[in-house]
Amino acid sequence: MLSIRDLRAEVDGKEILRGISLDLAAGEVHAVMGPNGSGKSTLSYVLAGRDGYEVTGGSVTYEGRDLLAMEVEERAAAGIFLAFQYPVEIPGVSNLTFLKTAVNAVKKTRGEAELDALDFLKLARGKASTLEMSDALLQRAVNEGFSGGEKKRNEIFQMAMLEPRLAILDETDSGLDIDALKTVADGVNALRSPDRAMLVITHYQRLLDYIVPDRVHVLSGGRIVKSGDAGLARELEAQGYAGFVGEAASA
Amino acid sequence: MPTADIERFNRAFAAASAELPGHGNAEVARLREAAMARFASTGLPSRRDEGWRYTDLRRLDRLDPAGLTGRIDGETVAALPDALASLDAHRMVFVDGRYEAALSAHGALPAGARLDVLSAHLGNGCEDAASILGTGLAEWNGAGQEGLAALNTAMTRDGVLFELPAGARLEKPVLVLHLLTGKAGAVHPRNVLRIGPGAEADVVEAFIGLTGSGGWSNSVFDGAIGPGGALRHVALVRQGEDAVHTGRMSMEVERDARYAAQVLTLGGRVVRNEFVVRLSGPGAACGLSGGALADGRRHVDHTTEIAHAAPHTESEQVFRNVADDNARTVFQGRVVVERDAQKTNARQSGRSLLLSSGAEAQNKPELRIFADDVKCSHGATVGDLDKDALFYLRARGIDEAEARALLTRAFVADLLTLLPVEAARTAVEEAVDGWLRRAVDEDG
Ligand SMILES: Nc1ncnc2c1ncn2[C@@H]1O[C@H](COP(=O)(O)OP(=O)(O)OP(=O)(O)O)[C@@H](O)[C@H]1O
Ligand SMILES: [Mg+2]
Repeated sequence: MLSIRDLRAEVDGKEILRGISLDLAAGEVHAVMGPNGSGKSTLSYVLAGRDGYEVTGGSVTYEGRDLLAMEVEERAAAGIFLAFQYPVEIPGVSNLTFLKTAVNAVKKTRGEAELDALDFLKLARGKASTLEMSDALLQRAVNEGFSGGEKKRNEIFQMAMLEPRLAILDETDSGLDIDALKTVADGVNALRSPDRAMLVITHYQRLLDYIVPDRVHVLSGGRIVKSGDAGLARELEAQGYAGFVGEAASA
Repeated sequence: MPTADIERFNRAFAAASAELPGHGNAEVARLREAAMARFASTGLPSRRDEGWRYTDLRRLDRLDPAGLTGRIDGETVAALPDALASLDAHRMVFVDGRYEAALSAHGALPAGARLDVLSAHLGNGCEDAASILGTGLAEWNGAGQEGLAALNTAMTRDGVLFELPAGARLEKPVLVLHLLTGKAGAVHPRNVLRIGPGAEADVVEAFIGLTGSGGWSNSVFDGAIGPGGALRHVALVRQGEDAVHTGRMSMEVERDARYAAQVLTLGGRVVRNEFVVRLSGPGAACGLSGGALADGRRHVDHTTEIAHAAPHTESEQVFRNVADDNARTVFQGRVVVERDAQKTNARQSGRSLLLSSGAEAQNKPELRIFADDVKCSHGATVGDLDKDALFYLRARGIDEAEARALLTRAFVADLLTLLPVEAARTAVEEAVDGWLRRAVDEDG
């Protein structure tokens, strides 16, 4: 589904991604772990198409298409979803208006029928209640004044509404209390299916207890320095990154 | 202003004066002559005049100051925005400055109330010409140059006279529609309001230029709200592509009375709307808000002057301007707190959004405080759309044009929250969304 080949990218002239290769097949969940500043969010932004990240080398193929040539909204319509590490507050735009516009925009691009106000509301209410999101949060302006945990929950809610094919979750577990973590993980697991894939960026083993990954990659200094199965995450939790970062340097 | 230009206006006045409403009434003729003389002494405002630094009326140099004339037909009515056409209101319609009974729907009013065609009060034997064409606040020099209002006094043909007696309340809003159909010439609509003690009313004014119309509309909305009364006022300005619009809204607000007003400008080549408010009795309050949505090469100027002339008075101003393409917007808000106006509270917020690199915005808040026990605040910002928000929306599949429209609408959301006349909400939202769609379509 997703094939990243020797991807290099810089921000403000500074090289952040220094040759990343990664293959993610439909049905798989991969975890990306790594120290602060190692380039995890940068990778997620490059995949989502954010301005200001200049790709200087390599390629990304998504379902046979050159992902890097696609506009941000085209990528979303093609099924890519990024749950932001820091969701953006948008005063003056209600959560529901925002989501309805998004859901219908994606449907339109896919040539599907748009939802009318009533059907949309029914769908939104249903998904929100599974994620224990209150009606008040749906009515409020997008993320404005939301607590850290509410923002993360809102990301997963949007994901549930948009039903992406490739979900990139950037530290969706940070800032969640234990119960919320469980709810969010359930939300993610509900979307797991043989034709979907997920890239889960996290610092903590705990999330991976709920969302068990097929592969774990350790990112350090803009490179994947080690990959392994779910056991690698537990190793990291026990030992920290020091050993792996060292390995990379000597490799 | 060069003498030759003054002469142009003098000739137009001389040519029209024999047929302007009230020409047979000596008092009216005297008031008009005097007003014309005041206009001649100042001429049109220029950028050298205080308060006019950012707005240039030189387009009027090429304009024929004679009256606009247009024709009325099915198209005129069909061109009205749906929500305005269907608004349940006491409706008074003027086409190119002339009252159009066939398009109006006066409706029943409470006892003692009057909603009349202004010209009916200027004829021979009418006694109240002086108060209608009087030079109260309408020509008050607070905001700088008063030539435009003087010219309106001299040349006005019509408008409404709206009076509510003490304690009266209207169920429905008064809707005053000024339609422009002509391409050249000028109209000087004048609406005069007197809201009695404890009386309350909603007034919606709309200045709509039909497709292809131009010319110049120079309006005055002049009134007073008696003690404990309330007036809620919305002015929607959507003139034609080439039109110049100058409008002055002046209001005297007496003890414990409230004036809540919002002006929205969505069309016109050069537009200047002025609010002049005097809080003249203790406890008087006003809330002014306004928005300009300007694209193409339009220039929109919203200028206010609020005088706190009594203690315990309160004012709040919220202005939001959006400039796209090569448009320019101006917000000038002046608050004057007179010496006796202790315990005054004045707040002002002016924000401008630039949607393209060719757009420009000016924000000029100004406080003149002569009392010592007052609370005044102002904030002014000019900025672009939030790039992070834009990316967030696009990352959810919303295309760039629509994302920009959503964020622009969010920027003016404060205005919709403050909209004084609830009945006008659909019409206002329709107008705002129509503008956004058009601006987005043109960019996309
Ligand atoms: N606009 C920018 N200008 C300069 N450096 C930047 C910019 N954006 C990101 N960086 C740098 O790129 C590096 C990688 O950042 P990134 O956000 O991808 O890290 P991360 O792995 O997600 O870290 P964390 O675990 O703290 O979220 C950091 O050193 C960061 O300071
Ligand atoms: Mg990060």
